[in-house]
Formats: sequence, structure tokens, C-alpha cells
Amino acid sequence: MLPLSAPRRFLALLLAATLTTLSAHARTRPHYGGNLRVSVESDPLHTPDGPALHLVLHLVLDGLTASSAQSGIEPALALRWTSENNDHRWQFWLRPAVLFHDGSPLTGLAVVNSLNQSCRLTACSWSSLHVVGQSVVFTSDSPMPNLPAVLARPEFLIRQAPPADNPTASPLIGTGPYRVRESTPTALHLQANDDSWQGRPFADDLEFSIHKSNRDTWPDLSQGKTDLVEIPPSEIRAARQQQLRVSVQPAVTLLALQVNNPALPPQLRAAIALTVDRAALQQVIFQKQAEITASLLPASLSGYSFLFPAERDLSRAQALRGGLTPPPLTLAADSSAPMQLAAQRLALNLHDAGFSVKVVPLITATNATQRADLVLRTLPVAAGSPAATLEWLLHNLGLNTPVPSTEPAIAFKAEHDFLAQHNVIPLLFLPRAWAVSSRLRDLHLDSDGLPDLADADLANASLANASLANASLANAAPAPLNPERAP
Amino acid sequence: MISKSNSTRLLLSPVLSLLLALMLPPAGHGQSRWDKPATDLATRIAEILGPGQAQLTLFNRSSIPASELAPIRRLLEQALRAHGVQPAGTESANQIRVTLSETDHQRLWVAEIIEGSQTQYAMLPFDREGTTPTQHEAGILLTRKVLWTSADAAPSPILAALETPNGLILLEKEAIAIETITPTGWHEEKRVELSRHSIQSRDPRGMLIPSPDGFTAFTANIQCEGKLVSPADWTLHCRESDDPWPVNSSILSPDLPSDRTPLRAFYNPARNFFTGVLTPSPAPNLQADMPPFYSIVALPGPRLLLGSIDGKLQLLDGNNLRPVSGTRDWGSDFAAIRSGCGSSTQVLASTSGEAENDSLRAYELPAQEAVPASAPLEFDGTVTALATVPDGTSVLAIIRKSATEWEVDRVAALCP
Repeated sequence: MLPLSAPRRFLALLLAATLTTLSAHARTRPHYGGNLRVSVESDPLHTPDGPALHLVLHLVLDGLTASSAQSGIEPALALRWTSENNDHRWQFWLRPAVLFHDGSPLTGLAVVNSLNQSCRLTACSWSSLHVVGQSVVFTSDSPMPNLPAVLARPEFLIRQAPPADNPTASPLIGTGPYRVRESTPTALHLQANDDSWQGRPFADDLEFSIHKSNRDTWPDLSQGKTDLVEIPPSEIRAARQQQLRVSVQPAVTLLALQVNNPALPPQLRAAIALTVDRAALQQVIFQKQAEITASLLPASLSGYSFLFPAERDLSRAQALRGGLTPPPLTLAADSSAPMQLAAQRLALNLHDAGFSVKVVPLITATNATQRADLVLRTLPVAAGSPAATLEWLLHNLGLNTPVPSTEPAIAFKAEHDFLAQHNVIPLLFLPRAWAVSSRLRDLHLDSDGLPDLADADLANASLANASLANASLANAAPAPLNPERAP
Repeated sequence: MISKSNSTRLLLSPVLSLLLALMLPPAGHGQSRWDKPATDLATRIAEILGPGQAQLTLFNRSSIPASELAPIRRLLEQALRAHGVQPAGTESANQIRVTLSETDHQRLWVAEIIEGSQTQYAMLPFDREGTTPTQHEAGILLTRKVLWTSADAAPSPILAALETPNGLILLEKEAIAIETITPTGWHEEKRVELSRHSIQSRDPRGMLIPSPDGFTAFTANIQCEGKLVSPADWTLHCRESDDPWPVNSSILSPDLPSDRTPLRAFYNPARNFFTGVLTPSPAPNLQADMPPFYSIVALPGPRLLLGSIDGKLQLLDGNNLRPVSGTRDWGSDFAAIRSGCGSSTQVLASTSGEAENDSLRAYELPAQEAVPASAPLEFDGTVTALATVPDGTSVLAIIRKSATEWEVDRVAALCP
């Protein structure tokens, strides 16, 4: 039985009517078969934090839990869970009869090994993790009220380590609907997993082809050479003008300015927050496809974001700065054109208030955080309860503090107190968008804006696939009978 | 600046609520859906502000229509007065700024309570209210009645439904539930989880067929027999099975002899369609193989209408399999209904396309052409399964309203 603590009761309330991401499978029922082709700009397996990597991870791996826009946190590899001792101890019971792609069973030990590996790469909120029968137990000195939501994050998806003595083994072995068939420098091939515990996906194969610029592949959509192309937020408008069929999930990523220089006085930080011109960024750089914000959580999730004023107030910023002479500042941003343009525009904004800002390249997040006074950051906005999302955002911003309540007033206070320090200045919520070929059907974007390709299908998938499926059915022996009486 | 007041002050005091409930007009006729949220928010405001005067302003950032704002304001003022907070003009030093906001999932009403330079906040989240579906009219009039709606718990997908004298049998993805209607609403009388050893399709399907003493349920690799052994006492026996599913009803095919063996079709449990193999063969001399199909119905003639997985509709008439035109807008699900109107029997088909909401429409099939016989009947969700009721006079439709909200509707046809 699913736990019924307050956070999950709140999540149950979130099950209200929306009709977006999960496929309904009515009307024309989904077809099996076909080869679905995706164009991506980065190598899915070797580009950290790239959207292609996250897309592939969600196809190949599963988490103990999963997040959905409709129902918050759902069971995945864990069938159920309970918390004890005021959320200091959690127990997750594993789904039985789940197999990894290499044929090995999902066990508590495999889960522990996978999560221990995750904790070597990212901070984990639990202090110990161990196996109890067909379950795993997390314990911590601090409460972990949002652990089920945390375990749905890509960082904590469950994978089987490839055997050390087999260099040709797949680098990514999971339990997901697709398995890695082949990886080359220019393409990644995934194959449908007939044994997926969620059911076999509809398309037989997924092929990710890697291009330097996705825009070059736009014509391929109409020529039937590709089925799915990611569209950066700054190019959504252009894609629509070219009559591409674009599917958009709004407010997936938070664009924020992080103030890293601890020597900067509070009134100068506040002056920076009042100086940024979000409207210009939204209209010019992101072509009105982003959502202006001064809050960490989007209105669609919190409902109270209007309480954080987002208007530029130059005169008040100058008044706050007073007679202080700010030191020259550096602003780091990644090398993509929109981010560089956004950084340049922010530097101009700050110049208006008497700040001298130089834009510098972002080498890596860690190095840049150490070097630059200001960093233009993008942060994923996860779905689920406001509290879980806020906790995860604060974690990514360096503040490990549980947000224990689903009461909006308490989440608001946590967010308000954090933003009042002006160490982080929210700017925009960016959407994630995909251009879709006419033959790709039932495509729905998850709460993080990634397409659910396991539930998508291809129109006119070959009838031969049906014949093959029928042939395999005819060869299958009937299962043993197992009568049971109702309790 | 946010107040450092204890957050528990934001919570509704049961005592205050009770007092307020006693002071407000009784519920019943004339009560609006905004009464409770207005009362609750006023209580939270009063807990922070205490008795006195304050200027009340109202902002709307939600989908609540503008016509509702004046009544909401009146309700708020009334509830505030009950707590000793007198709405005043601009001369008041205290301000209450109420914003009607919302998230994707719920409404959120926010009160900013400004006393001098200090601002405190009260927030009230609550569920969105339901919507009223609309209905269209033309030709044969399709009507629908909501029989059952899932509660706020998260059920698994509903695959099929069957009416009983006291309620409904629901075939879910992972269970069979027997629901009975009581004066206070639906009551789940029995639930049996389906013990499944095989992997399900991502588009699971099922069927419930009435039997003399109960019902038979079919879903991928499982067949269950339900028997009513005494009033309100059901037994269920389930077994793994790859037996073919019964796919026609002689009620809709009066030309068929009543002792004729029911037509059965083999279902592909790893996919979402029937293999095309029927038993007994309805057309022993058919030159080509029957194609795999999603749906099949028996029509007078006798004829069989099947929707093959390539999207084509075909009519089996004798030993001839012929394409049916006029079905471009048809989805994969359809069912026959004996309305008594027109040719007496029509086919109800769901729409194709990717609109958020589905519709059903009645069609006549005078020859090899589907002719619309009704206006579309709109649904507040997606039609995921259709089944003709045993007497043939209506169709049960399974509606997926959201990922976790399902509905069973009975659709009937009225003659013009």
C-alpha cells in the first residue's frame, strides 16, 4: 500500500484534471514497429547534462520512483514506500521480476550499488543505505521529506555497472523500455526492450544522429529523414514561422543569475537584482518564448510567484548603491549563442546602474563558480509538489535544506527568505521544445520537457510487424493455469 | 518584508471555523461554490489582522470569470465582518490585497495583509471545481449519462465496464472491482488483484461479457469468471489463458441463429490488437487472410465491420471483405447500438486525430459507406473503450479524463 503521509496526500490532490503528458491511447490506437529517428546536437552518452543525455537516460534507465506532471511522484522500480521517524528513515520495496537489459535481476544489492555510485558524483541526502529483503532502506540524521521526488531525478536512475572484463558491453545497462544496441561517434542506436516491465515500447528502434547544428536538420523533418529535432527556446518562433510542427513544454528550466562574490555588500546585491531587465531578455534574446520571473517556482506550480516583483527599478537600484563604488565584476556564461547574448545584455543592464561587468566564458560550472563574480545558470525545474521542487532547486544552488511542508505559505516563506539574500536572481523560465515529423504520433512531453518516446508511435508502421508479432504469438506456448479465488 | 509570525497562525482554527459557520447563513439553496474558500480565507486573514478596519482589494490572476468576482468579494466581506474585520475605504491604515491565483492543479487564493510597513501573508489552496459538459443536437440525438467516476485516489486504467442490477463491474489494468451504488454513492464491494506473470502492453485492453450467473472478464493472458453466489456475494476465479475473446452479440445480429457458436477472436496480448484469426471462421471461403484488427462489430445482414490496424474499415459480407468509405474521421474504437431509429442499428465511432477531447458519432452503413447519423457527442476526455450493453440499446464508454481520473458513461440514441 502506498504511504499516506502529508506530502503524498498533497500529491494525491495534485491528481486533478489535466490532459497532457500521458498518452491516452484512444482514437486511432498506437501502432507497433518502425524506426524512430532523433536529431541531437550533442553526443547523448558523452555530454554531461545535455538534454540528449537526459532523454536517453529516461529511455534506458528507470528510477525507484518517477515524476509525472499529472500525478506527482509515481511508483517505478519501487512498488511502494514508507517513511518513519519523521522522514529520517525510508523503506522502498522493489518491484519483483524486473530484469536488467543484460538479463540479470533487479535486486536490492544492485540498487544500493547503483545509488552508491550516484552519490560519488552528486550530493546525496541520506547517510546510509542498505538492503532489507526485497527492499532498500535509506536513513539520515536530517529529515528527507522529499526523498521519493529526489529519487526520480536523472542522477539517481538505477543502472547496472558493465562488466569490467567485457569492454564491448553496453555502457548503459538499465531496466528501461529501450536498450543500447550500438554507439558510434555520430549515432546512437537503441532497441525496444521486449521484457520492459512497463510493456514493450511501440517503436522498434530509436536512432539518435548527432549534428553540429540542429537547425540544419529542420528540412529533414518534411523529407522524412528524421522524426524529432530539439528546438532551442530562442528558435521556437523561427521554427513555427517555417511551419514546423512544434511541441512545447513551458517553464522547464530556470535561467538565473548567481552572485558568487561573498565580498559584495548586501545592498549591491539588491541593486543588481533591481537592475536586471528581464523583459528585454524575454523579448529580444528569447523571442517572447520565455516567462519572466523573479521567483524560483513558476506560477503554474506555486500560484504565488506574482508576490515576487520582476520589474526593473533603476532609480531604486542607484539609490541602494548610494556612494558605494562597486568593484569590477566578471559574469560567466556558457558558450551557446543565446546565453552569450543574454550575458552581454545583463552586463549592459548593470552598467546602467554603475557596475562594470566583463563577460567571461564558463569553463565548467565548478571552476566558473570559483572564478566569476556572477554566473548565468540554467537549473531544471522538476515537477511534483512545490516543496519538492523548491528543495531540489535550493540543493542545486548550494543550500541543502529540507522544505518539509506542502502548505504553500511555508514554501513561499522558504523561497522568500532565500531570495531576500540576493545570492540568486531568477530571470526567466525557459521552455523546452521539439519539432516533430508528421508520422510521429501520440508524442507527449514529460514534466521536464523530454519527449516520452516509449509511448510514441509511428503512423503507417509496417504491417509486417504485426505479422511478425502474430507469428511469435502463435509459437508461444500457453502459460500454466493458476486459478485463484477471491478473498 | 515577511512577518516572522508562527506559521501555525496561517492554519485554520477549528474553533473559529465552527463559530463562523454558526454565524454565516446556512448552507443549502443559494450557496455558491465560493462560500467555503471565502470563509476559510477570511478566517486566516482575521487570525493575522484581528478585529478592526481594513481596505479590501481583489485581484484575479486565475481562470475564474470576471462575472464571479463581485460575488466572491461580497462573500469575503461578509466573512470578514463575521470575524470583526470591517471593510473600509482608502482612509484605513490596514490593507488586505486578495489575489485569486491558481496552479496547474489547484486554486490558490493569496491575501497580503499590510499593516503599516509590515506585510504578512495568508494562503488558501483548494481543489478546482468540476466543469459541466455540453451536448450537441442534430439528427439522431446521442445522450450520455455518467454512471461512475473514479474517486481522488489513483486507480489503474479502466479497461472495460459492465452494468449489474446494483452497480458496475470494472475491469482495471491490474484488478477487477465490483462497485455497488448506495444511497450515499458508490461502494467498492470487492476487489481482486489480477496475478499476472507476463508483461502487459502499454495500451492494455479488456472485455467484460455477461454470463447467466455473472460475467466473464478477458484481458491479456487472463480470463476470470465472476459468479453471484448470493446477493452481494461474488466469487471470482481467474486463470492464465490465451483463449479467444467473444467479439459479437447475436442481439445485434438477429439474422444469426441463436444457437450459433459465438464468434471469437484471438487477441495478441503483447500488443493491442486482435490477430485476425476468428473462430469459427465467419467466411470459410474468404480468399485472403483476415487482417489484424483493433475492433469488430456484428451488424444485421449478417455482416462484420472490422477496423484493421492499418486504419482501414472493412465490411465482411458473406465471403467478401470490402473497404468502407466515409470513415476517415473514425478512430480505432467503435461499437454498434440498436437505437430503433433509421435502419434500427447504427455504429458509434470515436474520433480520430489528436484533439484533447474525444467525441462519439453515430453512423449508418447502408452499403459500403458510413453516413453520419448524429452530431458528435463531446466528452470531457478521451474515449478509451466502447462496449455494447447486452440488450444492444446503449453503449458503455470508458473515458479517461486525466492520467488518474476515469469515468464510465452510458451512451444512448434518441430518434429525431
